[in-house]
Amino acid sequence: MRRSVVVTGAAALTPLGSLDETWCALLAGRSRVEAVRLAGNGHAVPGARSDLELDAVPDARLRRPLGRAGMLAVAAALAAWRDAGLAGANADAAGAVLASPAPDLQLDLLHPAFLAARQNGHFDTGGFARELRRTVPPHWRLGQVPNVIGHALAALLKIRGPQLTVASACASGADAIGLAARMIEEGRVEIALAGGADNLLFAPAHALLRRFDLLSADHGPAQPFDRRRRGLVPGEGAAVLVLESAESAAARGAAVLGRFLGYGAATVPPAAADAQAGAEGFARAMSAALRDAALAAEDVGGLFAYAPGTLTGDREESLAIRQLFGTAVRVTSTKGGIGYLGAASGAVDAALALRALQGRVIPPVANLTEPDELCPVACVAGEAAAHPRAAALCNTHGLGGQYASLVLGRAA
Amino acid sequence: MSAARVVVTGVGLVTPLGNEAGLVWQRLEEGRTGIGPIRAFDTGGCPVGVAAEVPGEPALAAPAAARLPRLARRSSRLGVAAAAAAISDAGVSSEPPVRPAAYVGTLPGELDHLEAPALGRGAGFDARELDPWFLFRHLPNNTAFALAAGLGFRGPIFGLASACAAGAVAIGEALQALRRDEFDWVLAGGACAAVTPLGVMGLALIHALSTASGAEASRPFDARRDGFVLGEGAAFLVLERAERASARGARIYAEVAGYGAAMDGGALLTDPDPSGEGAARAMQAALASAGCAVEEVDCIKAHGTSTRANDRMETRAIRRVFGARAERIPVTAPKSMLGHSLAAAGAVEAAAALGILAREAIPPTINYSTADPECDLDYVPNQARPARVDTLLLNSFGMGGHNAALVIRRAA
Repeated sequence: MRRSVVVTGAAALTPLGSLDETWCALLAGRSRVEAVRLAGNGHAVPGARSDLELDAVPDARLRRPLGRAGMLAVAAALAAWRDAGLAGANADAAGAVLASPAPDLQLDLLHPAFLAARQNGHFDTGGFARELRRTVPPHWRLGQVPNVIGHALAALLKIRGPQLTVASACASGADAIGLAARMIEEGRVEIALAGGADNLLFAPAHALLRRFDLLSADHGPAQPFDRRRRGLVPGEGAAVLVLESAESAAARGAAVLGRFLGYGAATVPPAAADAQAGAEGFARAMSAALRDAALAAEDVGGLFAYAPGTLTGDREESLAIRQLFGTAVRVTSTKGGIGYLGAASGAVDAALALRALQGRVIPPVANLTEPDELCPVACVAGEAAAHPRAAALCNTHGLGGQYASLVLGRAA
Repeated sequence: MSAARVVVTGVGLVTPLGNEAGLVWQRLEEGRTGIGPIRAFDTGGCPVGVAAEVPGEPALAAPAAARLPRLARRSSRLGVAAAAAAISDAGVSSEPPVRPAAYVGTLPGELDHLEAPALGRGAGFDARELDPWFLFRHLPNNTAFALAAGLGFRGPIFGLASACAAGAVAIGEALQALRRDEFDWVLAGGACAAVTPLGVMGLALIHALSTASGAEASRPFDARRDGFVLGEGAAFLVLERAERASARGARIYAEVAGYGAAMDGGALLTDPDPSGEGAARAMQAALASAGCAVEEVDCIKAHGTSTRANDRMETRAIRRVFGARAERIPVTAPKSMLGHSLAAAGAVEAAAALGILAREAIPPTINYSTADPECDLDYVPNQARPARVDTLLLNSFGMGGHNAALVIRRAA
């Protein structure tokens, strides 16, 4: 028997602030993009930076290897845990599923060692080893394991049940929520933290996005579904949910923010990465999530699209949404407001979708003024729209061919 | 209601001792080592001189052979070879309505030194001069991408980055998914290939690796052990429910009967909890998951890395679970021959452990000569031991305190 899963805590850190601040800013159609300096080469590029308190992680030993994405993840997890009223609770049997952020090797830090190794076209390992030892601190290596975030949560919150670190690029945040919900459904744990963080504001990430021609060319914000859209604005942020079995939440009288209803994931070989293939990936993930939720398309009121503001990405997804939902579903994208937060995106959107269900209102796509007729879906533009139905769907996609969708429901 | 039984119907391996299960089993039983002087680069001046490398690369079938080399890193190419072998061995089909999925143990890539010159052309790693594909190869989901692009794998692919426990975690999570009846068959395993100057030196920075020379450097549980020996490898199993395997007349290797995972909770990333409590909880959870009493376990495949801290901790953890009986259970450590292939190790060793059941012989822990009073179990030193093993416990622990255990049982 599959158990019901509810959400009892949520927190986010986005370029527009906390979850509350982000929600209010998005309802008002605001966005935040600024010139930020890329880690690794210091270049100023348009980006969406989140404000992070430097002491967000209380223990320096835990803080050093985390990096910005890890710090954001831990800060959001601590806030979600408090939000769920679990501060001080025994977490021995709790689980956690966190997204793996884009790994930053910190090439600038390694640069002197690689320079020292360059000897007449031959790699001098001895010179490399000596220089690396002299210039690179041991916590650099510790920061290279993606599960460093889970380790910090085990140390700080004493979450000592099963933990997973999900690596499906920018789909990881949604996959994390789906896999954590499975753990609760099958009775492995009662409570699990789920979500993730990412930081795309470092040189190799920028180079990769540029190579895929995904970046907004000017210094303006992203404009999902707008005919003038030029690409995404990379950013950093985090969101973490507390998922809990309905029994456990009821037993401790926890406030229920919403319900997890379904999850679907799909892979489409990127060899066939044309519009058809992208649409197929989204369609298969959405269908699987609806099937898992035992819902029909018409049960879904609002759809938080992946739509990062790229030319083909928004169109492929629109085709899939149109095919499954017609124009009956109200579609929004948060990327106009907060930029593209990589592996955090799916978790941030899930946290915001729960707000939409609670408030019965879906925020507009920031910066959407001229809807693209090649994206034939009912986008929420200008003003927030009503969201009367009891279910919402969130889409994500990760570079490499992975797609994931979540269906969330209003608290009963 | 007892959980559905899940069995192994396909095995694919790429290891330093060979790429065919029967051959690898035989060589392990003979106590042959895959460890030798590093061939991938000149180790002059490097504090570490040995590793367990996979010689060359197994040939890939088209279309993988044509597509992968530029975008898939070495570990992903090894992973595709192992996955293709496992799928072919199992004879499973991916044609709809069959529902396949993959759980893949993975880590971020290790920077290949041959890439380094291209990374450092401009001062300070100018993003415009950086190889744009660098991050794509480095992403932990690169192996998932390679499975989709190289094999046309179309089911959901879940990348799991639980450090050195990842391979076992992937198999365990696959077991859970099949018990939920979410998929018809699951490809589960891992791939890792980190024998590069940065891969080796990074681990040397945190004093994880043995600095001993010679093939005997990996000596798990021996008093003279001083760190692990890095290995390369990939392994995938095809898992499916027993009734489906029987119905299609598939060869059944063994049953994956249980899985448990638990976190340590200490503040230091590098050090496992010396009490072994987290590891013991993982083993107990796996036994409970299998419905298996401690008296039934007749062999333990140890994580046995040859580091001072792990082997002592693991010994204590085994004593915690098995009490006085611990001394009568043979404990074998294949890392003495295969080295430590990080994210792949749990999967490679699970594939190796199937041979213990099939051949009715327990491979030795080689290079064992000096007893350590703190490691006082029966480690099957240096000589294989004939034994009918019906129930095997497999340990796999990751840096950061991620502990996982599997129970593998002779199929009835």
